[in-house]
Amino acid sequence: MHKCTIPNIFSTMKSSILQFTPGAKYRIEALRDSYSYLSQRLLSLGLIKGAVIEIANIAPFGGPIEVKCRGYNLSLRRDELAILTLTPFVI
Amino acid sequence: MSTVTAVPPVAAKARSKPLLTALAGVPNAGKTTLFNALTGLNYKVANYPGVTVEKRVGTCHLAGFENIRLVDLPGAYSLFGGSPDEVLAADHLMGRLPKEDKPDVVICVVDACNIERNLFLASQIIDIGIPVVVALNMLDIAKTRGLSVRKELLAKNLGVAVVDISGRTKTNTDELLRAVAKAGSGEKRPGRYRWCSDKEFLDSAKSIGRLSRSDDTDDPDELIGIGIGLLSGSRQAESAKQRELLLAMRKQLVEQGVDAGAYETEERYSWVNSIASRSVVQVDGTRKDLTEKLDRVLTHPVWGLLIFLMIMGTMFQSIFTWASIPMDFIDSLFADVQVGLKSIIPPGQLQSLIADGIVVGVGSVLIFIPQIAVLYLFISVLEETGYLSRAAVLLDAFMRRVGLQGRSFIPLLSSFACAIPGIMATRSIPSFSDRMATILIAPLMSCSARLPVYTLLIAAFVPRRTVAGFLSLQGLVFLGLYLLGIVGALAIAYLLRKTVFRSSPSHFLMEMPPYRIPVAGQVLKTIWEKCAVFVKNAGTVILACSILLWFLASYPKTTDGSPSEAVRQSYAGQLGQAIEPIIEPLGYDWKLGVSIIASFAAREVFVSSVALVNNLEDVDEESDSLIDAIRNAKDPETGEHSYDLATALSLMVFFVFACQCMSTLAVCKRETGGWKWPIVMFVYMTALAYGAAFVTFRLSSSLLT
Amino acid sequence: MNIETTIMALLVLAAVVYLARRGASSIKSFRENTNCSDCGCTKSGKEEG
Repeated sequence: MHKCTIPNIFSTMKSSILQFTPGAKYRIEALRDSYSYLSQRLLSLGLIKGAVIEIANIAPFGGPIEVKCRGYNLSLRRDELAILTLTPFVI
Repeated sequence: MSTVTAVPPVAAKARSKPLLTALAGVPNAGKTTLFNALTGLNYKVANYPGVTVEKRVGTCHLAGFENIRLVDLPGAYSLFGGSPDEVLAADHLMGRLPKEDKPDVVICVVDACNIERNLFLASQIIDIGIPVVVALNMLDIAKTRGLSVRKELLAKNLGVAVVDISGRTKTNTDELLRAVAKAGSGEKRPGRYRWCSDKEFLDSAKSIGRLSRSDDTDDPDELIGIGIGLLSGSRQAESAKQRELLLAMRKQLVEQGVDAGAYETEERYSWVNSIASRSVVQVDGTRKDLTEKLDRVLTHPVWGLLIFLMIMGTMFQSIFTWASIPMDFIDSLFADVQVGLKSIIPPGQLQSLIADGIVVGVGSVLIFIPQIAVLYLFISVLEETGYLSRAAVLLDAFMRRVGLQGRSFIPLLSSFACAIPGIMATRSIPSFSDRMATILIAPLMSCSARLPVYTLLIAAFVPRRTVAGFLSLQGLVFLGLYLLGIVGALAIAYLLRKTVFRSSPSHFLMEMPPYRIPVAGQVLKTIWEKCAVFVKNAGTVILACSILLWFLASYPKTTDGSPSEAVRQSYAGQLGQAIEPIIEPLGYDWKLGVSIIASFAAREVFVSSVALVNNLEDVDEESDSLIDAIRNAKDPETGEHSYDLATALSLMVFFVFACQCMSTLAVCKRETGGWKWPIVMFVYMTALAYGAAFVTFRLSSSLLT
Repeated sequence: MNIETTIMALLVLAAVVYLARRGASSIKSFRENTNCSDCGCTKSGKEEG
């Protein structure tokens, strides 16, 4: 099982390292700078507060991460994913 | 224009012009397929003025109703997203484009499998105030996923007509057009802003909107729309007073714990979710996770890359090896034709023109149809399955190191067939510097026109051996040429990133569509179309070039000396000798010089030209196979072989890098909007071609002798 | 001038004229940024988000 870590520096709580593993689910709490181009993009795709995403695949060598959201799959780079504040989602 | 019919009251309203209908929707929802189904062949493609975004306009008819003029808008995820496509779609719908009329009706195509984000866009479109008809698509696919959609409930909740168009049958499209005509008759306008339950918010939006002076309107709904646009950041405040009010409102929202920039989107989605949960039912628990399982392997760090390399390697090896049997067949076919013609047409100029000029010139290019077919087979299958998006993901990290991004992979792969659609495909790359770099290196991906050149030279000069028991040396050299182009391209991209294109932001964010089994009919159709274009090209440009070349190489006639001397003294020969000093360091003689000049008309002409010049020189009357002819070509003075492996390698390298396609430069100019970049492209490629060929010749001469 | 030479001359002339026209329209579309119909590609690339 391959893991990847990115620092979650946008959490209002103290910095924590998020470990992404395929199959893990997260709830979106907030987006950094919701007026930016990237944020508007993610928002219009449905990655809003309260949405749940699931990590599907992680590309090698620091490449993009594939997440599942609302029934479709999206690939985004780690720094793009980092604008989301995520908390683990447990059913 | 309008036919007034007695029966349905809807059509009684006479119109002076056709009902202008816009087709909107999220990318890949099926807009364009619907457009094609509705308009058939009655459509035109044009650019929006000033940009490289396309729009299609066509007409469709429904018996008993007036004409409908259909505009296919660019796909958009949101009317307030910032990408050029989305801005254009939004502007067109809102009537903000100076040369375009505001549509009378909008058909919003909704993909039932991704209904939430499709409805998100639909809700934005409904808010514009134009009558909307929702065209529900892909219900058949949704069914296989166990989803069932309750159309009537959906229509009721949205407040607009919903028509099922999955499968695009005639009944469906008729029903759709009827709904469009009904919507356009102005009976009922959709209720706007249904997603916003907060009346205070709407009032505040209205008051902010009122302060706008650029839109001249008193309509409360319009004002609300302006206000919401200001709040969410898609419009800029116009006056200080407005800005003040705006900031106050945003502050208020924040105090209530709401993110102002995301508020509208969140509320919309919450509304859309509630509609979707009521209208879309998961009937059957089984869902297809095949895509995900496949992705686990295909984007795996180790297996994914290996599979990718295998696929690419197979593609290039096959182009060379699989095609050889049909190629031999065509080659002997043309040799027979040539002999046959010579027996029919009496000897003389005409016979020479037709047999030595036309048949040889055109035939030597048509031989390569099998290779073109194999190339397009691979590319279109890969495209149809949806694998290419995954390849882009795999390569993104790697390509970022050389200043590109994963998305560049798709245009670059396209460029292996022809750089022109490849360069146009770079429109999908949002970042300017990534896109420019991709455009500039696209021609280095050896295009299909270079295939004949590579094949001829390899077959003639590279020994037929195997390496490691099963890999053919010739195939390896072939692969090596492609790799050379790729490596060169990456190096140039890297240089560009370090010098000209310092950082400009780049985003990846790609959707991974579900895998599909390629439709055999579609693949075959694509291959057929591309081969037809290739043959048409051969039949026109290459034919004309062959005739012209024949003429230039046959006149003026000399009465003394051998046939090869005759060619040397012809116009073509003189031209070749004129440039000989420049190309001699690369290992070429005047004959090759002639052919290289000719190849600037079309790269394939190089082969025709070599065939022609050598055929004309042939001492004996039998037509030699082209490969033997070029291998055995001898310098009349010294009696030695004119060409050897070193020259061949140098030629191959030259063709990898040389910029010989006017059309590519033209497309580059069009897509970049100026002369600067095509000139840059031409200059750097020519320099690279000359330099690399020189080095190759020197190196291989010394290593091989 | 026999018939063969005539045919030959006509063919050559046709080729020259064709190439000249092709070149001219190529240059024209180059300057005006219109679609060159040489390679028959009308697809402009896939839609992307």
